[in-house]
Amino acid sequence: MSTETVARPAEPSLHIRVWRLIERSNILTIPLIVLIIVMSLLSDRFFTEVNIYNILRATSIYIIIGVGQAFVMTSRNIDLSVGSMMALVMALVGTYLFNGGAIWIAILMALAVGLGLGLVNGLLVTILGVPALLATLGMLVTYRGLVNEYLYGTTVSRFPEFITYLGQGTVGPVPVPVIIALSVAAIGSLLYHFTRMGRYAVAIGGNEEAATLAGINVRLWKTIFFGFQGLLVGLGALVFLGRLDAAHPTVGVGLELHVIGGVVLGGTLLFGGKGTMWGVVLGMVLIAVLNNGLILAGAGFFIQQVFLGILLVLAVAAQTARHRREMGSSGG
Amino acid sequence: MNGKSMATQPAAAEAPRSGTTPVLEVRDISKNFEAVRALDGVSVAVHPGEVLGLVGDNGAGKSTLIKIISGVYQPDEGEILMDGRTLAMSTPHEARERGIETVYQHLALVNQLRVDGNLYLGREPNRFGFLGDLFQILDTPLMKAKTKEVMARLHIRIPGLESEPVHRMSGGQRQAAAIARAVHWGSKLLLLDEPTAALGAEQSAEVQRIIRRTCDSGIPAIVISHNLEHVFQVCDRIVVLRLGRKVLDCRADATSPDEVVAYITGSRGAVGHA
Ligand SMILES: Nc1ncnc2c1ncn2[C@@H]1O[C@H](COP(=O)(O)OP(=O)(O)OP(=O)(O)O)[C@@H](O)[C@H]1O
Ligand SMILES: [Mg+2]
Repeated sequence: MSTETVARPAEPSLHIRVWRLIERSNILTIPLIVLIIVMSLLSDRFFTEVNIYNILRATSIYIIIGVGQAFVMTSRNIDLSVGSMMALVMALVGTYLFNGGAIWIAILMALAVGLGLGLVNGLLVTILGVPALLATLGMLVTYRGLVNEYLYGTTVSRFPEFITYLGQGTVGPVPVPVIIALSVAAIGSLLYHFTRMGRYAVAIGGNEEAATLAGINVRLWKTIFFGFQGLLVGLGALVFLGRLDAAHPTVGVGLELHVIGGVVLGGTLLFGGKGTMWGVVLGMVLIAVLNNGLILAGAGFFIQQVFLGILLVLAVAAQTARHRREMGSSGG
Repeated sequence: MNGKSMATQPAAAEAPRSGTTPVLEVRDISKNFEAVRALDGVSVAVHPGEVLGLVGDNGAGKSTLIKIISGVYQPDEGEILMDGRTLAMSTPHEARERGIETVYQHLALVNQLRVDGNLYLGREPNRFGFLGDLFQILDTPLMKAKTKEVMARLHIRIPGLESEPVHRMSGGQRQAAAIARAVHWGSKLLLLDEPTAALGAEQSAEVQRIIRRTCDSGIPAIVISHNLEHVFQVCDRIVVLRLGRKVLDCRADATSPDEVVAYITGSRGAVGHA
């Protein structure tokens, strides 16, 4: 059917084209570049190898957990419980290791507990029908409560060498956690683009009714996405356990906002239907660079928080504007 | 045939093609949504190769009837028969497995996916053998190629077919994609809820040609439309619903647009039922 007449408006003017180009590329590309230039001008300590690897190492667990969040978010859900969930896995596994447990059992345990807690979140949303925002907020508090009950103010530390290697080791000059994080992003990207898992995350987040009508088991897949998120939280917990060489009651407090912020900054839509795994990497690096720059410029933790908060709101605002324009005319 | 006498006795008008078994038949279907009686004892039969036009005012129950046949809703009363045998469908998936394909009033496309993604939604083939089955790796090249084939066969031309998600397409192109999906998979019956609603004159004509061609190959269709001109151009038989009841069921060449309008608005036919 020939429909060119309806398809396109008149040729856009130049500034609209340039704007579209910037917009279609990742929303972060420009600010990230500007930021790096400004910071390297402000400080001669920024572009050192040590500093760059510090930044990357700091982003690792956020990337690992963010990839899971990107799937959940693409399917139009959210998981706020990731910080507490990670702390709970760390408390259980850390205590087990502290008492002389075997490394491979500890690793399996971290992944299994993470997966299990993720599935619990998923079932609360799909079987009980509790909106994800509230279900996972409830679990944020619940898991944290369990951590506090379990550790009761104590800290467990001194883990076997292999665990600290996961968090602190290097291969050549590259930190092991960075290798793990980039592998997770790469696998996440393959799953997103080439498998049914990614396809159904998009379909469910984009038009849940259409997905249901097409015979997709929407509840099952939503649960799978939460389970996948949990599995990656388990992996992140192992890496963080190694990085800190400790587990304590307040580990991972506020992690969820950092994770969600980076995922949104990277270009994954908060409203579902579109995700990007390499965007997660980019988003987390942006936040880390910003934090690092603020530290080098002498700003304290509170100012860092102010900047992170503002950045998140702006990122969501940019997305909302774009989403309205792109999807506005074609409902459903 | 006399449309008026059929209207006052809808049950007696049931066999315009006596002799052939209907591909699909609904008998005495009723459906309530809380206080609203959306369908009230409706019986309709569709025969091989027939295009049935389903018309009626807003809220008459047309979409509800379509959704019952496509497995989205369960009827409160009545039965559905396919090839003369009783069917129980509790999900749209079951209807689709039996070859019943639907273009819903709101299209049911995933805007973020391309046409091929939508055409194969829920039925994606895997590739790379065992590994592909394990990780559910989509056979995108196959889906793209088949989609191109289907679109060519139906003479649907969409610029950016292979690269653009459907939210970048016009209403007509999206409609065409939804229809292509139904025609591609439908082996038994097509259900089209206002397939020309978003379309200009030329595209409506093209959609009607597609429907006609599909039905001439033996697959019947039920088409909902508010455009009586289209209905009379493409349909063999016309059923009018009014306030959830069937008030007219007759061959298209045995009635006229004026008469159909009279049944739609209730100036004819309703009294006998009240
Ligand atoms: N899911 C639902 N829940 C509650 N009421 C419904 C639902 N679906 C339909 N109805 C009601 O049933 C009646 C018939 O609706 P239906 O959508 O079948 O009408 P229609 O003939 O398709 O109308 P239109 O021409 O506007 O599409 C209406 O009164 C409507 O409000
Ligand atoms: Mg309708």
